Amino acid sequence: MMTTITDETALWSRARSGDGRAFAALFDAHRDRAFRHALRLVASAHDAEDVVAAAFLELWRKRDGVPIVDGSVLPWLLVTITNLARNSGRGLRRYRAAIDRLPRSHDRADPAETAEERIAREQLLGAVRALGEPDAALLLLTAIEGFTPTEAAAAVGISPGAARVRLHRSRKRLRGRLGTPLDLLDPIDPADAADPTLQEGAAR
Amino acid sequence: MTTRQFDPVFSAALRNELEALADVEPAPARPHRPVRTALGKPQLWVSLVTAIALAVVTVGVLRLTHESEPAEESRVIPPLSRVTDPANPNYVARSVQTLLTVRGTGPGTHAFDVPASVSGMQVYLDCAPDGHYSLELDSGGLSSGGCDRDVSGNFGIPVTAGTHEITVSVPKATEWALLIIAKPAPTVSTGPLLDPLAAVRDLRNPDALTGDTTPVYRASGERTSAVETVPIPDGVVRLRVYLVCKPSAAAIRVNVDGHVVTGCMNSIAHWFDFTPSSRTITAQVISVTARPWSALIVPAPAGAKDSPENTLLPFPSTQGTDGAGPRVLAQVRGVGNQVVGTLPATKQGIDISVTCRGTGWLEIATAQGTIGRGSDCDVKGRFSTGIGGGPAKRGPYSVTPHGDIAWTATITDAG
Repeated sequence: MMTTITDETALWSRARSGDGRAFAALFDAHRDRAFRHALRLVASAHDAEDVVAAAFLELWRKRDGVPIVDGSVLPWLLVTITNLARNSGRGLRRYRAAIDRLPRSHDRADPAETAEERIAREQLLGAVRALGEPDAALLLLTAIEGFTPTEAAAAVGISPGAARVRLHRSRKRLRGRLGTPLDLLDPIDPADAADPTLQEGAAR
Repeated sequence: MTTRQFDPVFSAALRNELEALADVEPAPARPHRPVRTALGKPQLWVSLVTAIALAVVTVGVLRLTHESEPAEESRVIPPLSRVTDPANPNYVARSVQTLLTVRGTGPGTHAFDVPASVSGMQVYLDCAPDGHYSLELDSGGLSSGGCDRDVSGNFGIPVTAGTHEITVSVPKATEWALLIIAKPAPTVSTGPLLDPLAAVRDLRNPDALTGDTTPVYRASGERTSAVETVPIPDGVVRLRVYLVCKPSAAAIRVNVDGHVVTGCMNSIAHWFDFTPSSRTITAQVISVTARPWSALIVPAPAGAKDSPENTLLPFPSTQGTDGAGPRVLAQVRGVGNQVVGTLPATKQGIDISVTCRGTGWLEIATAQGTIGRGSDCDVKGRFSTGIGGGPAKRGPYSVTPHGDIAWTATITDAG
């Protein structure tokens, strides 16, 4: 019996016990995905870097209470990034001084954003801001990041049933608000449409 | 938006900041709560009296049980006997540095100390009867699986110096034996250059050969050697090739009959076997810089197969699902050695994919940034990252292994 180590769980355990290399390795593992997620929600790559930095610093600050979902801290990071982005930078204040100390490339121009990209981003951010924190995180984790409602529920800290109801309501609310089709409003699970618990007036 | 990249300078600085944060600010220990503050005096007395009474009853029951039943033979095999027995497939060495050896029945938590000289440990657990176990190191998940009497779990894990706690979670009736040893140092000598022939004949060396070790080819030097045509003795059908040099040596490779292996270590732990297609072979060592090396070809042991540990690692794939792929800027591989080169200019930065095997980590430095520091290369690790950075001028790169690892790297144009 050759056992399999859950690498990230072990890394996180080592990081929490004071192994800086392990924490840096976690950063390496999730940096790019966290950055891409942030980039969808904020105005510039510069802002996305700030949000990612704050999310990792928050990960360390709250290390004793971070839920591990399916052996990974990534879902928690993505939820935190969503919350930091939708709060217009309020959540970054705590880390502003630390982030501003970090050097940046001086000759890096942010590539011009196409009109299509800008519209997509503003539409997404508008939709996310229209929702509460858990609803926004649930919607993005399932519709954009490909997590199942159960995994997203674990990251947000609610039951899978509640997550499915919240997702259904969020989609409906956004459709009513936007009045136009939005890809992320489509249920990722066709079974949702037939789920009686997701019908109008269903109990939370 | 997809073309935007994480600023490599900011990313590297943030990474260092996070590493330092965890290094200097370890997780706070749970505050010690004295018993006296947790329990009122009357409750404390009741608890003490109850505990003493229970202990007396338990000791009495245990004595009665042991007197009436013959001692049952233990169902678990002490892991220490396996790792120190040369005949056992789990053999490590005749003498190992034990960090913890403990037996028990049912769940238990044990503390152990790791000295500053130890950076990795090997964990062995035997448990019986069949059931499920899980191990936690310092309250973090480490491993879990099913108990198996014949072959127990064993795995290596990096560890920091200091006191650690390991928790064994098993059903109440499950017997177990746990062994933690310091991870043995790689079979690499940091001393003078090894003589590979002496090493393969030294039976104290775990990589020694017990059969015919008559050299088919033997050469040493500091520069590229002349191409030699070597006859193969009658009866020899398969050959084993060793190339020994200091790990820091720059690009060096051995070319035997068209089989080229780049890289070397001051060890005989790495070799390659091949079956020649004719009764003569050509052999040459190509060394770009003046570094001492020693090459040896001997008959491969009877029945030898290419060990997965010694076969060449494949290059990471760069092909997309449609068969197309990005422009490959460099593909390099090595075993322990550093490789340097020059990358052409790119419009959108670069992507780096690495496959590595062994104990250690790989650092890849380019004009656009450095990646890989501290990312452990486990048994088969692979990472791929876009370090991007926008247009890049032609510039140098280096791939530096830290530890006993074999590796391949593919650098592609991110554009």
